[in-house]
Amino acid sequence: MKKLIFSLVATAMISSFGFANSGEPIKEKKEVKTESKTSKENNQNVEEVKTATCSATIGGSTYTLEYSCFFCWGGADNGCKAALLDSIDAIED
Amino acid sequence: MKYIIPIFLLLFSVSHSQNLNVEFNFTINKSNDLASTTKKYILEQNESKSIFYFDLIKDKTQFKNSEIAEVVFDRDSVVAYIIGDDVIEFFFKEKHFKDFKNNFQFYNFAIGYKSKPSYIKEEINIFNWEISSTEKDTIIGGFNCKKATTQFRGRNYVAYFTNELANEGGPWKFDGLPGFILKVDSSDGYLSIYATKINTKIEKKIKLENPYLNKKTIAFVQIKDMILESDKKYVKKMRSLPNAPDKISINGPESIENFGLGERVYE
Repeated sequence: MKKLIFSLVATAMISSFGFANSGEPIKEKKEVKTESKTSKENNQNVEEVKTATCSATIGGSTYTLEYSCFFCWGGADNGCKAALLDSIDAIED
Repeated sequence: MKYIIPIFLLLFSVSHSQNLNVEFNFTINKSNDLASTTKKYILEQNESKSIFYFDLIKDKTQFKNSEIAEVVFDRDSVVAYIIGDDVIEFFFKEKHFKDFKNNFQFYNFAIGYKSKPSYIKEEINIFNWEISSTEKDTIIGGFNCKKATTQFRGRNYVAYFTNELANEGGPWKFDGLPGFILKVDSSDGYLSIYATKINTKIEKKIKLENPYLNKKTIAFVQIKDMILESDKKYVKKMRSLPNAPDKISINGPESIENFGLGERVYE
């Protein structure tokens, strides 16, 4: 389990470096929904807020996690995989 | 003539207290089809007790989409599978014990793979059946079966039972009919159970004991609190991570029975 988590985390890190070096975005899978929202304050663009939503069905329950943009660097898909593994580990009685 | 009737009654009672070993296919069609399964259970029954169990936890062919199911981890009593990118299912060893004389059933229940199982105790007669008096008998496995319907914890069911095998018994919680239940279908297609092999020629008497004797048991209604408690621990752990989610929503667990839980949102 630890090896699996390590390898996925490593994949996520490698992917994020790939993104930084090549400048090309990592292809995201359909299951991962990324939203881009622009909020305006005093008629001026203040900041762009992105969110990544990861959803997984674990043991019959559906867990939906919403993250801020920083999570998306390495590709939301990789982030969601890591979140899935975190979730499995966090579920207990 | 006066001896014939008692002998007939004796034979009748013997034939209805025989030992049974019945194999069932137990299909659950989940809303996310990747998690759908057809699991193989065995039911052993004697004149006063039964045990309905599942122990083929390492057999991934029981997943509807078994070609994409992969083992995430494998332990003695639980195996976790990942199906596709975002579905994790656990196969636990399950034992569902019924004590007909005392009208109690006991079974194990777990939420996560790390969790200690809980043991649930319920009465057996929890169904309000309506037996069809108009329909012709249906033959299942060579036995004449009558049809009965019920509504139970959020779903409508049709069951087929025979009085040619036993005067009680059935797969999972299904029971309380004047015969042994060989087939159950929920009207929404979520659950389908049917007998695939019926063995009545068992030489030795089946001895069955409650596997949860001396275990602390809880009531069915307490499962809801157990799930909410599990939610809290999950949310706490996820929030303690460096990449903590801003919002967590949990829906389910999707189950045969309605636990009375809606979507829980933690922000």
